[in-house]
Amino acid sequence: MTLHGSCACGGVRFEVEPPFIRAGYCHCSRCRKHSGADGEAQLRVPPQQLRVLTGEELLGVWEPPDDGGRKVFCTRCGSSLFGSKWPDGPTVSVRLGAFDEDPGIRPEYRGWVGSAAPWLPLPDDGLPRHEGAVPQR
Amino acid sequence: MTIPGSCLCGAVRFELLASPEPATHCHCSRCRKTSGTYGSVGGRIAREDLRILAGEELLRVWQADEEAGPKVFCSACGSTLFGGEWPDGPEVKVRFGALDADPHVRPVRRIHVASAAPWLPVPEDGLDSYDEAFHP
Repeated sequence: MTLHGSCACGGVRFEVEPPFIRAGYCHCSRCRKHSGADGEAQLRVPPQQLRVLTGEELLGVWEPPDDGGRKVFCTRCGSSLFGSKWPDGPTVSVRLGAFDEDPGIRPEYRGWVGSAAPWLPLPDDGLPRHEGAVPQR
Repeated sequence: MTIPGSCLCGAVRFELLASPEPATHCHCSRCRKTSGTYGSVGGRIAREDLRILAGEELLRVWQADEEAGPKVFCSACGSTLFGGEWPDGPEVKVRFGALDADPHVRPVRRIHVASAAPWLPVPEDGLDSYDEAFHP
């Protein structure tokens, strides 16, 4: 079943084809700043399974100064949409907050907990935690 | 006490001259979409206690309609920064993710939990939860 997502202003709409590779939280300082919250929640998918339907011209990309992930957002409303090396790379990240319906998959781990916000204790939810990057699989 | 803050790319820098309180999780769909995660975490502060030090020209404001709160972000990196009665106050909201130091304030409530993401059950962490907005 094709899943749909969009930014807050509706200018950017996209669809994603399952199956997804994995989903999880990232607590790194970049994801905290980008989200304005305690980090991002996202799933990973091969880029050919993600299709931007409208608003591609609205997408802004923040390029990291190193090998880290890009931050792709709507320049009209600031919504956080995609990550990793979008639109390149073996997989791209799609923020769970951008989905218009239940993507089915649930976060399975927490990455970069060594950088977690001091103002929010990590929830006791039993998810595996990784001090830094989540190992590829 | 001064609490420093900045966006991801570092172009927008600010400081808080008071604590942003009360810290609140908002699970509404707009906060979910602008953050990319379950929602936002923010606190309120008097407008005069928020000092923008750099990058004010990069701030962009999106507002769904006149009733909705404005979402203020850095147009260079997309970082979610401010809300509330932006830009003139009397009170504005500051997202905790933008803070560069511990504000020593902890979330005390969750609002708009009726709109919470299907992929994250609202945590049973003892915080007061409200289906919609909180009206003291």
